[in-house]
Amino acid sequence: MAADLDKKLLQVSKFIQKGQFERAVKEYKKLATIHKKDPKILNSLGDTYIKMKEVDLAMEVFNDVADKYIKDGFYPNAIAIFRKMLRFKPDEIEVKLRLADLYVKVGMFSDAEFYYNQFADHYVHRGEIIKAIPAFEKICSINPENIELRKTLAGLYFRVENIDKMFSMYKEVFDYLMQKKDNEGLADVFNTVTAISNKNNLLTSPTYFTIFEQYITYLHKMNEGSLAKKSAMDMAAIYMGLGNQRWAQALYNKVLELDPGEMSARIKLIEFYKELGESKLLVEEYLKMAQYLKETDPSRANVIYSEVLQLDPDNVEARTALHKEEKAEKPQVAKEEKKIKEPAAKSPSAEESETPADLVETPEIETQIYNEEEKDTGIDLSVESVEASTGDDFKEKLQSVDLAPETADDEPEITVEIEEEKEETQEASPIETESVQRKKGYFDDDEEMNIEFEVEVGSQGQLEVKEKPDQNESLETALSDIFSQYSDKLGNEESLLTKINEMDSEEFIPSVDEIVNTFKKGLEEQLGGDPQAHYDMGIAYKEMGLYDSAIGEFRRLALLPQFRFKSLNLLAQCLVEKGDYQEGVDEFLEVLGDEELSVEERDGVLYNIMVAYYRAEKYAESFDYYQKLSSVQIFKKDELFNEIRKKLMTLFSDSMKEEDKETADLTIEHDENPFGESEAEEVVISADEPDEGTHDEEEIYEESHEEFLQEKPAQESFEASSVITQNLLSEIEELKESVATNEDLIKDNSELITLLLQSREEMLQLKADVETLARRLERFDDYLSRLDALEEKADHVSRLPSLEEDDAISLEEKRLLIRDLKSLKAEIEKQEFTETLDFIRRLKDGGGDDFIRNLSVGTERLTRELEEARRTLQNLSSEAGRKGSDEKSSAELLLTPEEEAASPALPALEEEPLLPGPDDRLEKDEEKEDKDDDQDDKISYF
Amino acid sequence: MSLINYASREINCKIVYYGPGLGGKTTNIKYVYKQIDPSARGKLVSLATEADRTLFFDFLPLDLGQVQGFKTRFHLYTVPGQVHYDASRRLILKGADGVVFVADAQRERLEQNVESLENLRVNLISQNLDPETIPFVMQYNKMDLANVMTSEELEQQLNPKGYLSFEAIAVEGIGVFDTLKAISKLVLKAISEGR
Repeated sequence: MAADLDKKLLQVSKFIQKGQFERAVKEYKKLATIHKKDPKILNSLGDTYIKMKEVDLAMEVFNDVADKYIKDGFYPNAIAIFRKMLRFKPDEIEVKLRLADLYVKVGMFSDAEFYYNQFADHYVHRGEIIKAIPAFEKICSINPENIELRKTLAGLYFRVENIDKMFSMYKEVFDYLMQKKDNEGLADVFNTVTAISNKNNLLTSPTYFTIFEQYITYLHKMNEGSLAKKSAMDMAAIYMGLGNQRWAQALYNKVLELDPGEMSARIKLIEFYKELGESKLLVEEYLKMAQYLKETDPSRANVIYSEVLQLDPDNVEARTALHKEEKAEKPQVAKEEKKIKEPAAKSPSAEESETPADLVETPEIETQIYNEEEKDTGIDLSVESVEASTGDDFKEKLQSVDLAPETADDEPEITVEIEEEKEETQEASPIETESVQRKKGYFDDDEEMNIEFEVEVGSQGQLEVKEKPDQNESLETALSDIFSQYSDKLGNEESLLTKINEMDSEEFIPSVDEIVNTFKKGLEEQLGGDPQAHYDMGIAYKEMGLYDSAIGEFRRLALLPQFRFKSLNLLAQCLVEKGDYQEGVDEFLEVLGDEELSVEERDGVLYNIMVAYYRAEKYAESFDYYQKLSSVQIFKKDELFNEIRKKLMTLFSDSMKEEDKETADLTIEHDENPFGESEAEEVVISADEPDEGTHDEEEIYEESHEEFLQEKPAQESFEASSVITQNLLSEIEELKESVATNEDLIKDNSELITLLLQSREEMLQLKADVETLARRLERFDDYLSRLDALEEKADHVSRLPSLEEDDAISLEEKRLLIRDLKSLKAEIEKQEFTETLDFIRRLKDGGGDDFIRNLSVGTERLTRELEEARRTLQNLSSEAGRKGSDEKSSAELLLTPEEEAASPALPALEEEPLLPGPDDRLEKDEEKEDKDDDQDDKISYF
Repeated sequence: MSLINYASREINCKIVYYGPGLGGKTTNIKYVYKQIDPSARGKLVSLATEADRTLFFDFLPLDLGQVQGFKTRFHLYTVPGQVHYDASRRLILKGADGVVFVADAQRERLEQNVESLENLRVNLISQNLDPETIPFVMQYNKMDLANVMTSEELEQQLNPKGYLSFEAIAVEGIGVFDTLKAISKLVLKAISEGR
C-alpha cells in the first residue's frame, strides 16, 4: 500500500516537473481524501503550493501536517514541518511558539528557549509585552534552577501591573532561596519586594506579609534575632500607621513567638488591646508579661497581676499569684480557703480574637491545668497568706489587704493595700536600679504609692477585686514605668526597614529591554563559557573529523544570534561531510531563510548547497545552484568550484536523452526532499498497469500516463532546447569569465606593462645602436682587407731591391705604390672613429652590461691591432721614404706638392682607435647575437 | 587544507607543532599565548576528551585580521609527543596547513627526534598530506642546555633537505616567534598559490 502511494506520489510529481501545478494540487487533494489526510501527501501538496507561490495555502496545509504528526506522536517530523514553514514565513510567530513547545517535548531545551525568545522578541518589539509573557514563563519553566530568570519575570509582571503574579513569582523565588540558604539572594529579593511594595502601597498584600514574616523567621534562625525582631517591630509600626492592625498584631505576636521575653512587643500588644478595649486579650498579655517577670522581677509581676485583677477580678491566675505571694509572706494569716473556679461565661474564646489562631497563644489550656491544681491544693487567700506570700519587697509595698466579709453570707472582703516607697523600690531589683531616673518620675517627693484593691469573694465563691479610685492612678503609673523601661529595648538595633523610604523600586526592577536581554543572556549561559571558544573548538573538532562533537558545539552556538549564521553553516557542512546530505541541505536552507543575509553570505550558502548536492551525486540540483553562482567572481579561482563546474558541464553536454532521464530522476521533489525519497525515485513509471485502488485512482493513472506520453516529444524538445541554451549560457559565461580575467590581469599589471613598454623602447634603441655598430664593423672589414692589400704591398716594397740594385722597378711602380699609401691614409682619416668611440661610451654609461664590456675589450684589441698596423704602415712608409730619398729627385718628380704634404702619413691614426681584426669581428657578432638574445629573453620574461 | 568558509568569510589555517615528547611544543604555544594581545587570540585549550577516546592537545586560535576580505585565523595545535598517542597525532594532523617540528637539541634526544620525524612523515602520508610539499619549519629547542648538538650536527642529522630552521630557547621565548612567523609566511604563501 505504501509502495502504491509512493508510486502515485511520484507520478503526481511529474505534473509538477512539467509545471502543471494546478493539476498536481488536484491530484494530491484526491489522494489525501483517499488516504485519510496522509501527512506525506499533504506535505507534497504544501510543497506544490510553495512552488505556486501560494505561501498562505501552503502554511495551512503544513499546519495540518504538523498537527497530524503531533497527534501521532511523531514530534521530530512535526518539528521538521514547522521549521520548513518558518523558512517560507519567518514571521509566523505562532509557529515559533509551537515549535518551541515541541522542542520541550523532545528534550531539546536550548532550541526551545531559542524559539521562545524569538516569540517573545516579536511581541516586545511591537510593544505588546503581555503577549510575550507566556514565552518567558515557558523559558522559566524549562530552567527551574535559573532564579535570575524568575526574578526577571517577576519584574516583568510588575511592568505589566500583574501584581498578584509578581508577588507569587517573588514568593517562589523566595522559597527557593530559603531552601538553598542563599542569604545574599534572599536579602536582594526582600529588598526588591519591599521597595516595590512600599512605593506602590502594597505592603499590606498578604503575599508580602507572608514573605516578610518568613524572612523574619529565617533571620532569627540564622542568628540574626535582633535584626529580625527590630524589623518586625518596625514593620508592625508601619502597619499600625497604615491602619492594618491585624498585620501589626500578628507581627508583635511573631516577635513574641521568637522571643517570649521581648517585652517591647508585649507592651505594644497591651497598648494595642487597651486601645481596642479587648480586655480578654489584654488580660492574657498581662498574665504572660507577669509570668515572665515574676522570676526576675516579682514585685512588678505582682503589679501586673493586680492590674489583671482590676480588669478581671475573677482571674484565677492573678489572684493565685498574688495570694501565693501573701501566703508565702504571712502563712499564719491563711485561714480561709476557697475553691475558685473560672467562670465559664467569662472564659475567653478563640473565635472572638482577631489575632490569627496560629500566632496567638491561647491561655485556656494553661488556665485549666492551673485550676486543676487549685482544686487539689486549694488557694489560701487569707490576709496572712497574702502578706506572707508577697516576699520582702512586695510585702513592704503591700499596705493592707482587707479580707473582711462584706456580704450577709459572711463572705470575706479582701482589701489589699500596696504602699511602695521610693527607696525600697530602688533596691528591689537590678533592672530597677538601672532605671532610677525614670522611676523617680512616679515615685518622687516621698509621695507614697498606695494601690488599694478590694478583693471580694462573690456569692459563688469567686473573688472580686475592686480597685480603689486613688489606687488606679498609682497602678497606671507603675505600669507606665514598666512599659517605658522595656518598650525601647530594641531602639538602637539594626532594622531591615531603616532605609525603606529611600528604596527606589525602579532600581530593583529592570526595564523591559533589560528583561528581554536577561532572557537572551540566560540562553548564552546555558552554553557555559565563552561562545568564541566553543566556536573555535567546533572548528577544531570539524578539522579533526570529529563531526558529532563539532555539530554539538555548532548546534548550541546557533542559538546565539551573533553566532547563528556561521555556526549553522558549519553545522551543515559537518552534516554533509558526515554523509548526512539531506540534513545538511535542510540546515543550509534554514540559513537561507534569514532575510538579513548579505549577498556574499547568501552566495556562500548557495555554494555550500551546490557542494552538498555534488557530494551527494545529485548533479541536477548541484547544477541549479551552480548556475546561480557561475558569474560570481570569487568562486572562479576556487578549486572545488572549478572541479564541480567541469563535471557538471561534462554531464549536461552529454546525450540529451540520457541527461533527460537522469535529470528526471534527480529533480523529483528536489526543492525540499532531494535525498530522503531515494527509494521512491527508483520506482520506474511504467505504472500504466491497473492499480489495485479505486476507479478514481485508475483514471488518474491512465490520464496522467497518456498525457505524459503525448507531451513527451514536446517536452523532450523543450528540455533539449533548454539544455542547449544552458550550455550556450555557460559558454558565454566562460567567455565573460575569460574576458573579465584578462581585464583584471591587464588592470592588475598595467604598471608592469608600462615598464615593459619602456624597456622595450630602450631595447629597440639599443638594438638600433648595435646595428649601427655592426655596419661600422663591416666597414672595418673593408679597411682590414685594404690593410691586407697594403701589407702585401708593403711586403712587396720590403722585398724590393735597393734602387741601385733593382733598376728593374720602374719609377712608375714606385709612384703608384706611394699613391696607394696616400689614398689609404686619406680614406682612414675620413672614418668617424671619434663618433664610434662616443657611441661605445654612451652604451657604457647607459647601464653597461657584459656586451658593452666585451665590446670595449674587443675595441681595445682592435686598437692595439690598428696600432700595430699603423706602425707597420709607418715602417713601410719610412722604409719607402728611405728608399725614396735615395732617388729623391726622381721621387719628388713623381709626387705633386699636395701628395708630398700628405706623405708623412697617418699621424691621425694615433688618436684613432681600433680597427678590428677578423677574430674580433666574429666575437662582436656573437656578442651582438647574445645581446639580441638577451633582449628577447627579457621581453619574453616580462 | 585550510578551511575557507565563503559564507562567513573566514579562513582557518591549521598549524601543527610536532615533535618528541617534552621537546617544548606546548611551551612554544604557551609563550605565544602570553605574548599576544587577548583581543587577537582565543582561549588556550589544553586537553579535551571526546566520547570513547581521549585526545590530548593544546589548541590556540590566533586572529590575523582580514586577508582579502576574509577573516583569517591560525589555529595552533600541539600533538602529544608520547609514542602511544599516535592515533591522536594522526587526528590532529588531519587537514594541517603547516607543520613546525620542535626538536630537542640535546644530544641524548637525537634518536627520539629522528623517530618522531619519521612518525610525522608516515602520519602525513596517512592523512593524504605530502611531506615533500607541506609548509614545514624546523625548530631546535633547548639550545641553552649544556649537552646540545651543534646546529651543524642538527642540520645534518635532522634536516638534510635544508628546510627553514631556527634555534630556540622556548621557555625564554627565544626563537618562538621567528618560527611562528616563518611557518605563517609559508602557509599563507601556499594558500595564495592555491596549494
